Amino acid sequence: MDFQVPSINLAIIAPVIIVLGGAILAMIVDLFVDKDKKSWAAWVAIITLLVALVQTAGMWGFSGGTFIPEGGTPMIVVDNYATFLNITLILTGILAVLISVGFLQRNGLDKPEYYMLLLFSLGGMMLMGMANDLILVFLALEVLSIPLYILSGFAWPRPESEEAAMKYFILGAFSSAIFVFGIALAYGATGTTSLPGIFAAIDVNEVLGLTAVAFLLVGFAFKVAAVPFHMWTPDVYEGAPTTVTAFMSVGAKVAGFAAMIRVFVTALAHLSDVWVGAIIILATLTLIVGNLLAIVQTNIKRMLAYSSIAHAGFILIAVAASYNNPNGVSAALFYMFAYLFTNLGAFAVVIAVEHKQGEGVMLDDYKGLAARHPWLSLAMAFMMLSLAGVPPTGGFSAKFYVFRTALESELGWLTVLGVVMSVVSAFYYLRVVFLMYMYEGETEVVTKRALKLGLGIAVVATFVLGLFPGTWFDLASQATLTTFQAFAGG
Amino acid sequence: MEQLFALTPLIPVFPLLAFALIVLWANKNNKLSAGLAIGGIGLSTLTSWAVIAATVAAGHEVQIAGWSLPVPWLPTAASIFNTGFAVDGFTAAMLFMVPLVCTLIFIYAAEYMEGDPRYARFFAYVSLFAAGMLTLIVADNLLLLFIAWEIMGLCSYLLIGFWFEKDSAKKAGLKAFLTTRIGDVLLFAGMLFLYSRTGTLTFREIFKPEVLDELSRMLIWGLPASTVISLLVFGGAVGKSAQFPLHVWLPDAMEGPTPVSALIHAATMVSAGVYLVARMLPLFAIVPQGTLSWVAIIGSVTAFFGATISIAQNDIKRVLAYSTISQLGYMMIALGLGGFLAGVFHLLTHAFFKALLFLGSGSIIHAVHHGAEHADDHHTDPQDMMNMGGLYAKMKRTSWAYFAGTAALVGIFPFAGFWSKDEILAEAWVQWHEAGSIGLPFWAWLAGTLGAFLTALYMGRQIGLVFFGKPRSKAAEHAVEPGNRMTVPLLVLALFAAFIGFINVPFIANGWLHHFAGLVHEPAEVLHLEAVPFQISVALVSTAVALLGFFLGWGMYRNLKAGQQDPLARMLGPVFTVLKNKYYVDEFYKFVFIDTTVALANFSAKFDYDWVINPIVNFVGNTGRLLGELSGRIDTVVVDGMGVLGTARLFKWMGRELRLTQTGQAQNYLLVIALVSLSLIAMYLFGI
Repeated sequence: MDFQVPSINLAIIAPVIIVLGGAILAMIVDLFVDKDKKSWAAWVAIITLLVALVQTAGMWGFSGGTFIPEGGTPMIVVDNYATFLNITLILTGILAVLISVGFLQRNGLDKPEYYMLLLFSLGGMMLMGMANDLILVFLALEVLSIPLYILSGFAWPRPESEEAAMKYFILGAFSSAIFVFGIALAYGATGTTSLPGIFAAIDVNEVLGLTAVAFLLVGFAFKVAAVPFHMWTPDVYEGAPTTVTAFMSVGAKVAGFAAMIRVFVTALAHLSDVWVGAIIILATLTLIVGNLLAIVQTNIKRMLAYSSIAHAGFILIAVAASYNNPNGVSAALFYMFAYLFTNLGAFAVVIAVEHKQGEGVMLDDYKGLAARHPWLSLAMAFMMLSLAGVPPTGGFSAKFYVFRTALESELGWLTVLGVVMSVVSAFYYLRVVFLMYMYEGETEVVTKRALKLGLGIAVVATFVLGLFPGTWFDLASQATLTTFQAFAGG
Repeated sequence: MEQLFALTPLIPVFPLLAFALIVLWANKNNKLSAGLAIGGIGLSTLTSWAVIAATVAAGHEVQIAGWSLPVPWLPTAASIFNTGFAVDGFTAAMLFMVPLVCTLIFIYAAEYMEGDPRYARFFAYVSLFAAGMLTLIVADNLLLLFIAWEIMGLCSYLLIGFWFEKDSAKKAGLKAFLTTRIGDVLLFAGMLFLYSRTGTLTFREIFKPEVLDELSRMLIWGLPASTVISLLVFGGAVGKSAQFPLHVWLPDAMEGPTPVSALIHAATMVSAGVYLVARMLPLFAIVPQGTLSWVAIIGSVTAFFGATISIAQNDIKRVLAYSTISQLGYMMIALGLGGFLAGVFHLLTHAFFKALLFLGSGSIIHAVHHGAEHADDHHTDPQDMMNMGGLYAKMKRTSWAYFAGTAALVGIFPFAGFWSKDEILAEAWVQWHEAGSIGLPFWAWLAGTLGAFLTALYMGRQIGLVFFGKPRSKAAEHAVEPGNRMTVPLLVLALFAAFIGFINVPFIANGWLHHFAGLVHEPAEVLHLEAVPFQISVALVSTAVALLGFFLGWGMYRNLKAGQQDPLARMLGPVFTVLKNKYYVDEFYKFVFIDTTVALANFSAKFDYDWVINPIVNFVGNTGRLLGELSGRIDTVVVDGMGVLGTARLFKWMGRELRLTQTGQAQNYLLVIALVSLSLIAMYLFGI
């Protein structure tokens, strides 16, 4: 049998190697470390992520590809788009670890495996943005998902956690199956799975191609929790340990969008008229259902679950806008960058208030928080304002850019819906602020130094993104410059 | 040396930092708070000196053209709004005065405020105040200046009403805030016009000849744009610098602690208005016979009118307050006649000697207050000069410092005020003689000279009443000199009051300050940037009236006995009563503006509730109710039975079904995914 070794350049995937390598290193170290000393894994994870961050930041401006089969196109590429997303994801990882440490310790979940799984999953997420071949997208999807299934059930034998893991797994497997089906159909339509190949070969009138678009869309929509593929979200977010919820609410969503945007905007650019309609429908449903259902929740984790669905809606607006406007991609990137800090900051407070697993997660537990924990409450209020999109926060800038590009792409009524829905969202976000400041209560709160650090980073970053959005948006624009300009224009 | 300019943005940062630290961290510790505030402003002073040194060293070019640091700030649609910092000779001159005087006031306040329950808070406020003023000076554009201006507005409100347990203090704070707000709105309107016409608020950009020319030819409401804008800007200055007719807040502002009075009325807030006019002078001057004449007129009126009120006041600080109003009038006269540097020079010297006088009066009040406590007397007003007398023997340091300040204010050779006031009068004199007819310059000169006489009179009266004769109350008998932290700043300020005038003496280097700070603006027809030659006749006349006034006042009041009638009141009769009541301006405003507003509000309320609106509403309501009852009957029979209940059932059913979707059963979720996927495919395949 004739087997050709593809051309490989490991330097290009160095960030992923570092992250996965850190996880493997932790596994080996685990064999030799005392079972009582548990926090070391968090250190390994943080150091790994910091190294990866520096390495990734150093790759800014570089572009290239690797795993190039004979006569084909690279399966993995690095460009500013991938680097921007990798930085976003690594920062997500760092904040997630910081806010996890104390929570895991006080709930007896402090096992090194937690951090290993987190790193594995993060590696998968990073691959999503770099994948230039549908097969690799699928691979990355599984690498990121399977550790998340396990992490969701990490609090076993708590039945809620097990239930969350089980549901997430079954539904995830099902949507993966549909996704693979989509890949197969795409292959059938074009004879290739590489994204540039698909771009070159796809035929607008080909039935197989259209079906493939539908199935791929379902796969991605499931990952980013767009309505009506969102139903797993509230259940899983509520049942999973809160730190896992925090991580996946940002990481999985960013990764899903990363691959989704690359596949749709580049490979399926010729079919943009086909997919944009479906995405507009998804965005509309997601905005309405996410925000309306968030209003009626009494559990803050469930509320944030619906809130994260709603934010997926805003990002979908940007994705829809990118069918004829490269700024749409930049807006989506910037939105995710801002969302990462804001959402993880909010979760940091939720984790602090959840002094014991499963307790302190109701909205009523936030009553009177301001009187006893003024700084924590101030941070939470700031995060809520950012989620609602009030200046001067990152959330505001992010929404501003999304709406602006949507208007440029003449998605007028979708923009109007977005604005209306962000007003609606203010209701449930500000209710948290209201509860904290206007009532009396006596919830216990546990804050560890690591959590404070994470929260501090989130607050400062949100503030900076609100005050000086221009600098960061420029970076996001540069990230789309080389990769998407050509496709989106045509 | 050039690199030192890069320190400029730091100047306002130190007090701002002190403010933040006191508010967030140090507020429980009084000593630390005072230390932080003094340290902050002290660092600003040192930094300012570095910047001044750089300006002096860098030579004429930098003093005129200036150094600037633009900061791209707000990207708006087509352009980027630049803010930033700039230093030229004028700024450097201000930077010498403001932080130094503030530092001395802060040190003084550290002792003066001792025992106050809100000691730390006081230092937080004054630090913020100083930060505001320093930002205002180094700002290179109107917007940043306006932000600083508003910060000062807020701080003045907080500080004047600092002892808010007193009803009068609370009201005074509100009055200062609201009155200056009128000016602020005018200034803001001016800024809006300016930005909409030129697209910039940066001083350097505005003062480019082509921009100024453009502004003088453009029309707003039939007037040249430059005139309208500069009038609006001047409105802001009138409010902030307490010029007639918006002067009413300043005397009431004496309700604040005395260091605040010194801060507001010498170094910072009121100077801001004069600074603004001086800074924007090219815009004022581009159209001759435009706004500048108004500046001169308002200045003359204020200078004279403030001085007249001052002679009839008994409260030691109120005398000084009206004196401040009057002196600010002098500065406006100078600027209005185009004598840029004469106004700036008086602004600088006045800051030193007026700060000295306020702090001196604070020292006296402090002493009398302690005397009153010693004598177990809680009724004597420690600010009333009628309760003082003979204090010279008890407080030598304060007295001599006070004498120096008085000599400067009255304009005795060679104290600072002599040189600066004389330059203003000389400016008017020269212009009068050049014009050769009795016009605005003559009236300005006359108002200034009469004002100088009255100034000397009220200061002589004050010195006589406070320091000489016999104590007229137990409190004054037991008065004692306060400690070093209060007297040393006084002595330092006294030195400046005596000698600061020499930076601009016509005989030395032909007016040094002129070459340092005087040429920052482009020359224009009505702008006199060169020094006026020394006018011996003006100097003689003003010295003569000053000495006459002073000794008149001193002679009449030095031996006043307790309970005796005020000699001036005897002489002037009803005129004195009018002056004592400040020309009834407050009453007039209350009658015309406040009472009218209240009456209008009452009328509107009556209109709403009793006369028109409510009856209509009630009528409509009643009609509606009748109709409602009627249709209610129909409803219960027709609609309820069929429509409403049916709809409600429908929505309930929908809600139940919708909630069923979120069953928690994974298989249901799977079904939804499958169905939606199929519909999506159907949509694509059959083009539905």
